[in-house]
Amino acid sequence: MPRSPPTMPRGGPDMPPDPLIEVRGLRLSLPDLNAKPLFGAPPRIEILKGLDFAIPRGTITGIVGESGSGKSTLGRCLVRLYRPTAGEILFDGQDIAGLEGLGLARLRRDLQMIFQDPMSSLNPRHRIGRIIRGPLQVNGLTDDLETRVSDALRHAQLPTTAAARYPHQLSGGQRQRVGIARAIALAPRFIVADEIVSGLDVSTQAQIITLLERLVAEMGLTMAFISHDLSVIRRLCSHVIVLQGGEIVEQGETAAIFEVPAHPYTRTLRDAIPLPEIDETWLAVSG
Amino acid sequence: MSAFLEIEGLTVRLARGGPRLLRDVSLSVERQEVHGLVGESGAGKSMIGKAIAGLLPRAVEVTAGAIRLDGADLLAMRPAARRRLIGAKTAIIPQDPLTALNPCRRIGGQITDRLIRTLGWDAGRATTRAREMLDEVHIREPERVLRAYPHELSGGMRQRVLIAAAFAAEPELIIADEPTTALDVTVQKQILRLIAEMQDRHHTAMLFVTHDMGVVAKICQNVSVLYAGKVMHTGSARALFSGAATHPYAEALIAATPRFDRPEESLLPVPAEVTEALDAEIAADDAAWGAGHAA
Ligand SMILES: Nc1ncnc2c1ncn2[C@@H]1O[C@H](COP(=O)(O)OP(=O)(O)OP(=O)(O)O)[C@@H](O)[C@H]1O
Ligand SMILES: Nc1ncnc2c1ncn2[C@@H]1O[C@H](COP(=O)(O)OP(=O)(O)OP(=O)(O)O)[C@@H](O)[C@H]1O
Ligand SMILES: [Mg+2]
Ligand SMILES: [Mg+2]
Repeated sequence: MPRSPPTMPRGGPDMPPDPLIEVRGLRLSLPDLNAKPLFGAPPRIEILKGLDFAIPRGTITGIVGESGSGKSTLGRCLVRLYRPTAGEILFDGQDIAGLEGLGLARLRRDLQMIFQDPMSSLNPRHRIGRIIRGPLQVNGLTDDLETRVSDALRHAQLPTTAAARYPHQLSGGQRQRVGIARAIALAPRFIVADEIVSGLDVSTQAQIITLLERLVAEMGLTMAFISHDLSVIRRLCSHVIVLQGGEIVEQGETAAIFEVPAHPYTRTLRDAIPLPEIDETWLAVSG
Repeated sequence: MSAFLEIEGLTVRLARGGPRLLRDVSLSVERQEVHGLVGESGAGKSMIGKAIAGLLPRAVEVTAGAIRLDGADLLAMRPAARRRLIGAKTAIIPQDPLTALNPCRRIGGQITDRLIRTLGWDAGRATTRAREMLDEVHIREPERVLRAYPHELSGGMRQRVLIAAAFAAEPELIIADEPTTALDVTVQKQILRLIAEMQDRHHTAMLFVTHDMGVVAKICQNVSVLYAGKVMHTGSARALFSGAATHPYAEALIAATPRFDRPEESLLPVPAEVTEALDAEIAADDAAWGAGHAA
């Protein structure tokens, strides 16, 4: 069956049932401070240009797209680290796009983000134990604090001894797992994971992916999984959104989209994946 | 003839009698060779890069071994002379782009710094070169990026800025630590092509740290496989991927590589019997080393 043309993201009747998150007309622009004229307001850069999509409850939705297309920015809007310039973000039916103050503070625990640059999101002067304990205390989850911390470390496959170390004493992949431990310790309802496995070796990737699958199945977690690794997305995500230049060019069920990509960009992505085989011509082939 | 980079019996341990993080590591990289360094998280890949660059953390110490760069024995040199030599001949693409960039300075200056300070170029020539390099790494708006601060760029843009900065001065050796992890596959392919071009045009040698066996197959001539700080296998990529000369652990890493074409078979964890054999080897190694040091 032919699918809808790429420029018309599927919505309406094709929207997945029972979404935890529904996004309508989401826009974000930021002032371009580097191009600020001597007088008056700086020009604004449009980063997200009107996005419509839904994230079904209890699933993992993949977000793919070229570098600079707006994936991290979208993730930050979804957990409300950024306030959208326009549009709605319905979280369990409630519009959180414009929420501020106490209303937003109450949401923090439920909406977590695991960041793309692990080192910069971890306070270098705090030991790992404190880094994980901090958000728990802020959110009043102080009963069984140490158990929560050691459970989170264990879930993220870090040794309990990691609690006593500083971020710079860990390898890149170990730091990435600290970010995961910190987020899951809060038992949030929704997590945005931004490129969290791309820096990891395959066996750690496999462990983390199994862990995420388990968290979704056992804790009813819903997740947006930002990644450029189509193989991982295909394995992990039931639905996928393809971004290009701040717009959605394709969205739907992963199986359908990857079986027959409708948009040329999705096809290009698929064809540029290096398979673990020697192939002298691969580099020369365009794409 | 000796290789451009030679590491011989390098042993690094946590200070004050701590465990070894690198165990008698030997590997060499010829001019015009891209040498892959693979292994699980925590195996010591970045530690090798840092040892070459003279950037080892204070908490660790080199207890044995030699690192020779174009014949010069780095560990025997005075720090200042060593820094100068490394600065002139090598460039590093570090693993964590955000921490590698100064948050308070514009990107342009951070690329041109090395060209001006180490190579003595004038500012105009350096800026032109920076713009060219941003083009080469397929940054769309080089002018905006030159003026931007690191936090105004996406993760993949920051990573490409570091690649551009490393390539700008056409160093003889590049140590690239997971340089394409934040890039989508189309950009990654363009970067790999750029590396191959550098290799042909300037005979650049490269130590390429990665966990992606797909990338290794496409860009590396030789590969070293690291486990718990020990080189378990070194050999040609061709022999490794054809199965002619391989190692059970290397085979397991290849089998574990996510494959878009066969999703159901991919991301298999390394089998327990493989890691058990490796752990036994490491334990035996520790016992022998402990005995040697007691004697
Ligand atoms: N400053 C430090 N102090 C103590 N231990 C350290 C320090 N830096 C790294 N380590 C330890 O040294 C080992 C090797 O670290 P390294 O960063 O080289 O790993 P890696 O192979 O690069 O892993 P990854 O793929 O996760 O980046 C790890 O076990 C790590 O915890
Ligand atoms: N604070 C900011 N000020 C100005 N521009 C910004 C800011 N943050 C992001 N941008 C711009 O917004 C665009 C989208 O960035 P974003 O980080 O969302 O991309 P991404 O899809 O996550 O890319 P990557 O895959 O490289 O991480 C980029 O062009 C970036 O330069
Ligand atoms: Mg990003
Ligand atoms: Mg590393």
